[in-house]
Amino acid sequence: MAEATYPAVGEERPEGAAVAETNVEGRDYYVRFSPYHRLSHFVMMTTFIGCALTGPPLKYSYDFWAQAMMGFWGGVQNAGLIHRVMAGFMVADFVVHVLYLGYHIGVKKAKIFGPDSIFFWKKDLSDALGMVKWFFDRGPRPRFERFTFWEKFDYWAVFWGIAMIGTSGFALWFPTVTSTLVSGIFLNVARIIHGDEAILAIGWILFVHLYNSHLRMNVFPMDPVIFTGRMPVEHVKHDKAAWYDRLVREGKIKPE
Amino acid sequence: MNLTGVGLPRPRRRVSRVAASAAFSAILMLGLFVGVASAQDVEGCLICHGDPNFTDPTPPENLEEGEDLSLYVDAEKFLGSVHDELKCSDCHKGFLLTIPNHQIDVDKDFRQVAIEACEGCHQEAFQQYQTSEHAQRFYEDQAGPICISCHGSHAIRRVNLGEESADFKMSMARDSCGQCHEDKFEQASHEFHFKALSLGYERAATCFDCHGFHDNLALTSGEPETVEACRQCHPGANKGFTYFQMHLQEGFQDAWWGVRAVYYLFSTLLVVVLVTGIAYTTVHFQKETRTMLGVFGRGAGRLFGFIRHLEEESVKEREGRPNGPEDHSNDKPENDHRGML
Ligand code: HEC
Ligand code: HEC
Ligand code: HEC
Ligand code: HEC
Ligand code: HEC
Ligand code: HEC
Ligand code: HEC
Repeated sequence: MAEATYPAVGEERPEGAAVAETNVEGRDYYVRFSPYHRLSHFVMMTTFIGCALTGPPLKYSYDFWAQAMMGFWGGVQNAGLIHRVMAGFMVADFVVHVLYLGYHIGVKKAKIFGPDSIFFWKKDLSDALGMVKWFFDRGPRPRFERFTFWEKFDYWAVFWGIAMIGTSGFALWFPTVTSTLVSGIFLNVARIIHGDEAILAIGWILFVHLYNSHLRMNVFPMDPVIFTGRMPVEHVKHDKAAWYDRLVREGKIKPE
Repeated sequence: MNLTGVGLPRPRRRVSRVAASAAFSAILMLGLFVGVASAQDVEGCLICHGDPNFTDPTPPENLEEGEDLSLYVDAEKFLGSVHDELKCSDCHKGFLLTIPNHQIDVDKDFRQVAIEACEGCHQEAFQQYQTSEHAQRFYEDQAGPICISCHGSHAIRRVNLGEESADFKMSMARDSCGQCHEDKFEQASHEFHFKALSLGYERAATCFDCHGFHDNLALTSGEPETVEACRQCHPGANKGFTYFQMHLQEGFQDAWWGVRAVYYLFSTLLVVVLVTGIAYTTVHFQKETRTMLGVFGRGAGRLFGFIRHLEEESVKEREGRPNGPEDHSNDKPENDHRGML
């Protein structure tokens, strides 16, 4: 184990294999997210915020804050335009990601279930239970692998959200096209889905995702890993002990 | 044609009786000496009726004690209306500038006279109106609207079909149609068109964009007229499009079961998922808070007796077990669940 060599920054390395870095202060980092991952998250985040700031004022149009917010955007027409542009980029981001997944699973034969995969597996259930036990001082904090169950949940929630909000959004964007395919009553249905799921998504991001990914005590006030891709090795050790052990075993990082 | 028995409530305004009669006497004098001889119709009439405190000195019996019947006409509004070139007596036929009895034919209700006057100058609109459900209902039991229910009387504005402001569209829906069709307005106001209108999006449809105003009011999903109504703004509209429902109750009680099913399903999902997520976050937060208090002051995290109890229990349980790798507060062995994450 100790004989393993640690690839340095910029060194040739197998695709997908991350690398350890040492920054000027001598702190060891592990590159957790590739540039594509970071870009994809950045696009998802900005377009989500864009939609979340332009959509709800229409849903709650009779409330005073909605009037003020629409005023800020310069009226329904502008807000609608921003909303559509943002939605377009979001869906594009999503489609690219599905292609990426297809490439990795279909062409590169990436394992669907396993410690490096974002797909749910058995351990997530025991991790979730372990986490709840830990909350009430009934057990140790679970030793997480590369993706914790809440990270996986947030990831898959995007699939659900895009499927629901995206489909209903396009249906409302082109109502007369929709009505050539299904009866117009489905436009009413689409509006219910679009509004409810949007509120769910916004509530989830605000109250759950932001807390679990950024406001938790050991990353407070924010965890920059999704933007920089780099995670301090010491942080890997605390947060994702099983992954840390595996990385050490595989010789990808120096043990602390 | 004759628009009989107008049943509209008279506008009332509380004005002090003393002040009103004093003002009236003054104006009467003024009118006698200055107005009558020289002024023309509009200005002449406004000498008296242009005073905001001008009330009927001989009010009808049915007025409540202390109330007065205002006879004020806002000159600014009238002169800003589309009828600014009309004389008062074009509508108020038989009113002269003779004081004090300026009404010739006292037997005839002056309101009815004024309303019937519309018909004389607006033949076409009147003919269309005659064919409507509204006219029928008006002649039947006066439940339907007449010209002034929708247009008002002294401040009638110019009609710019297709270029109406969102404000006008909204106020027409709320204050005119919505006064009688309360339920339909309430229901429609949850739909896109009215939400957008209330935010100033004038291209969205108000009641009369879809239903028309003088005739052809009724719409039924699937009918060619309804398709035409939608096509004004949705050129690609087909028959299926008109099955979109403008008038559904907020809770969709009256809607097709599919709509209701989706509504209940997604509302439930919304609540269940959010509540679960927020509950999870909350218990996570309490753990972290206690940990933090423990870090900064040993005793503070133990304020809560039951938490202390739980802690002791779990310590007893785990006595002798090796610490997990997440444990970094190895100063005290019982703290292995409370240390840094
Ligand atoms: C000198 C003041 C004076 C002038 C000028 C005057 N009116 Fe009047 N008007 C009154 C008074 C007083 C009443 C209430 C007495 C009544 O019920 O007949 C009244 C009542 C009315 C009414 C309501 C009638 C009702 O039964 O309640 C109308 C309509 C009216 N006037 C129109 C006119 C018109 C049109 C002119 C101009 C041609 C005019 N008035 C000029 C004093 C005036
Ligand atoms: C386009 C027709 C029209 C013209 C022009 C018009 N009126 Fe009227 N007026 C009406 C109608 C209709 C009513 C009845 C309104 C109601 O019952 O709400 C009325 C009511 C009145 C009343 C009774 C009080 C009230 O407000 O209900 C007075 C007074 C009056 N008008 C004075 C005038 C004067 C003065 C002028 C000229 C400056 C004038 N009107 C011009 C149509 C007209
Ligand atoms: C003496 C004839 C006359 C009477 C009575 C009359 N109007 Fe008019 N009205 C006109 C004229 C003339 C115009 C057009 C003014 C213009 O275009 O400048 C007009 C315009 C209008 C308009 C705006 C139409 C448009 O295309 O912009 C409405 C609405 C209207 N009148 C309603 C009424 C109602 C309601 C009444 C009865 C209370 C009434 N009118 C009584 C002559 C009359
Ligand atoms: C149910 C409400 C309603 C009633 C009742 C009604 N109108 Fe209208 N009218 C409208 C609306 C709405 C418009 C067009 C929208 C606007 O005002 O911009 C209009 C437009 C008009 C116009 C101009 C456009 C055209 O078609 O020439 C005239 C003139 C007019 N109305 C006169 C009358 C007269 C006269 C009566 C009574 C016989 C009457 N209206 C009854 C709602 C009504
Ligand atoms: C003075 C009250 C009143 C006003 C104002 C009014 N309506 Fe009506 N309306 C009625 C009544 C009464 C009926 C008949 C209702 C019924 O049969 O259920 C009716 C019927 C209708 C119908 C249904 C016709 C049918 O065949 O069932 C429509 C659509 C309608 N109105 C639209 C409008 C619109 C649009 C406006 C505003 C431009 C308006 N109404 C303003 C009283 C009013
Ligand atoms: C986007 C177009 C649209 C708008 C805006 C709209 N409606 Fe409707 N309305 C319809 C259609 C379509 C129907 C027929 C629905 C059905 O078949 O059940 C209808 C039905 C109605 C009916 C029942 C008619 C009947 O025959 O039973 C009334 C009354 C009515 N609307 C009044 C209003 C009023 C009042 C407003 C404004 C607050 C309004 N509508 C706004 C499209 C519209
Ligand atoms: C006066 C014009 C006008 C008329 C008439 C009209 N609409 Fe609309 N409608 C609009 C506008 C503007 C939009 C917003 C379009 C956009 O920005 O995508 C819209 C959007 C819609 C949408 C999508 C809204 C959503 O919930 O997001 C539906 C569904 C719709 N209209 C149905 C109808 C039906 C059904 C009719 C006929 C009964 C109708 N409209 C008549 C102007 C109109």
